[in-house]
Amino acid sequence: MAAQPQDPVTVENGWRNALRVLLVEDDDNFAESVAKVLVRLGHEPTRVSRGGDAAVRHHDADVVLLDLMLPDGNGLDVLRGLRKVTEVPILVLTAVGDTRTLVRALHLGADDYLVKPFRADELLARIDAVVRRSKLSGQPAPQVVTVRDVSIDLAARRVVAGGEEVTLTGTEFDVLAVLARRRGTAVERERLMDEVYGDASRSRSQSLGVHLTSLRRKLNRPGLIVTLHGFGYRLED
Amino acid sequence: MRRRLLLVLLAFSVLAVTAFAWPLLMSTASERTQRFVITRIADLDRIADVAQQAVLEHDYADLRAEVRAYRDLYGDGMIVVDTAGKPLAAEGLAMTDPRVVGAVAAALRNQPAVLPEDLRPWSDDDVLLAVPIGTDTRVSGAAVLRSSVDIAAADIGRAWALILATALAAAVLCVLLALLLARWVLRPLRELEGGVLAVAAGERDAHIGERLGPRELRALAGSFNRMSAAVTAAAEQQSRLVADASHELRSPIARLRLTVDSLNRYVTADGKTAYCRIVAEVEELESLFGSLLNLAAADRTATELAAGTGLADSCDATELLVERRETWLPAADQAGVRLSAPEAELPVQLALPETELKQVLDVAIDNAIKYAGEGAHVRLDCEVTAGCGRVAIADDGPGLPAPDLAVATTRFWRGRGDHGSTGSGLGLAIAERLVTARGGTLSVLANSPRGLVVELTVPLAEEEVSP
Repeated sequence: MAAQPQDPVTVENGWRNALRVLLVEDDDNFAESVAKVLVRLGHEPTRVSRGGDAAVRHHDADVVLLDLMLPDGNGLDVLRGLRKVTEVPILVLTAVGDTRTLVRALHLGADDYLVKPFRADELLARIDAVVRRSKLSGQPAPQVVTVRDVSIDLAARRVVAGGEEVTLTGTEFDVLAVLARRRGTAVERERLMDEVYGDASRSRSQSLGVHLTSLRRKLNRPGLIVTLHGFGYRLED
Repeated sequence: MRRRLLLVLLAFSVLAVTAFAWPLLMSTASERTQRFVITRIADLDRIADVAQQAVLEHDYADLRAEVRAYRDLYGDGMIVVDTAGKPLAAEGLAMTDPRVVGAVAAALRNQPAVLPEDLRPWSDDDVLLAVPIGTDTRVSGAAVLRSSVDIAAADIGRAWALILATALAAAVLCVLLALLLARWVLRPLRELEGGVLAVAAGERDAHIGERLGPRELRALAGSFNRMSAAVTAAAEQQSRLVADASHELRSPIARLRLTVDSLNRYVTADGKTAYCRIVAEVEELESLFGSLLNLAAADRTATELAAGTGLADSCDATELLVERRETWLPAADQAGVRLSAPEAELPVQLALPETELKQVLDVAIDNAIKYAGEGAHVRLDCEVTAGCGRVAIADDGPGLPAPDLAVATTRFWRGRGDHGSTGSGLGLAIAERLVTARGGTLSVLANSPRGLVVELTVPLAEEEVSP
């Protein structure tokens, strides 16, 4: 998209702990490239080439990188199998133009995705984010969620952006609150509707869109609420 | 074709039936008329013989008895006169009737009897027949018979009714035959048409029956099926090639990307320019590769939709435009382009999945930001018009010359002066494929007073009935 070449940003010092990364990838050369990047950052990658092996090795992993296009059957089946037995953060790798598989992966419980080809810093940032999120997930949501210069007071139902109070309607706040409680996590559209309205019919889906549009206009913080097309939304970290 | 075929066949069969029935009608009437006349003339001749005898013997009692008996038997009037025109015997006819006088005069002159015209079922005028009495050279009087034609006309009527009924039955049979023939010839043609349309719509393995119709059409159906199979095989090969090639390419490009990234920290100040060029090239390669995959996916979606197996989904254009604007704002700011939000407030629910509309919008917005130039203003908007949703991405940049507008959605087309740009020339082609597969249209138009508009018209999603 962007025409200008960008210097790849290296985030070498952003890591405090070495992470055990399980890489499920059939392409030897690609797996090696990824492993090199990870080792350089002090992580401990383990690589398996078959989906079946992932089910055995996931115990020793802090995060799983799963290629959805595996030779022995569908990567989605591997994902489904893993999700039945573990809560370990899973980052799926997909190809361009395969949004359908991607959306299904998210529905099956993938935490995030990377579209091949991706940049090294992108990979590291996503790994960082999913691991951090999964560590936070056990704790109760804080009273006030602050993202960039926007603070969302869940108890007082107040939103302050850039030092100024933003007036939201009841539903708009409800929508924002659901996303804020799971900041950084993809929230399924149906789940959002269910928590805000108590049902997830198609007519509700339209009205949710209207509220989100108006919420974006009022907050005026591009990129704060990210749409995961065909899946749902995420409040950026 | 069916109408013409039937018209010709029917006209022909009506003509044939008529050509057969008309002479039959005429000859039946003529034959019956002749029989009628012959019997009456024979009767008259016999009376004339009796009258000749009576004239010779000057005894008219027998003659009168004969004439009366004839009238009583047949109800027909008769008069017998001598050469002076004096009635010798008369029943139901008198010399006061001018027709009788005329007939008597003709008979006395020994003129041949005037035969009546052929009878018709509706004829009811009595027929007047006259014969001279005596031998050819010595006429001694005339006998005139006025005969009713009712019985003969009724006979003709019955005969005609039978002929007409038969003709009608034959005509009905012809019509049935014509219909059957038309069906026999046209049904395989209709099937063939359906098959051609199915192939044109992208259906895979469109097959038609090969056992209907004339031999030539059956052979054609066979050829069509072989062609359809070949087209399907070619399409499958093509999509498999794209899928295989992209799967094979995906990993090397991803490896290249990671390797180039990891080189970064070893690059010295001298090599920085070259390194940045390499990164830019890799990015262009990635983008072209991504476009190819997207195009393959769009083709696949279109084929699936044509075959009726695609996913039906909808999305709100207003929401997506607001969201896409947010995403593209940084790029627009960097290019010095103003990107304004849609004025629409209400949702515009299009029969197009969110992921597909997003791709289309991204292509159009990316192009607008890239080519409209610094200081340009890109407007996003959508509305409902005439039962369709209309989405427009309009800029006030330099636009495109008129000839280019028509070809802007062609695969691998790039604008003039677009040398060395990173565009793959596939963006708008992909967008158009996605939109048309869902029954919509995508047009690239000139904006007024200047600039370019990419305009989509997409069917609205069906309203869900509120519970």
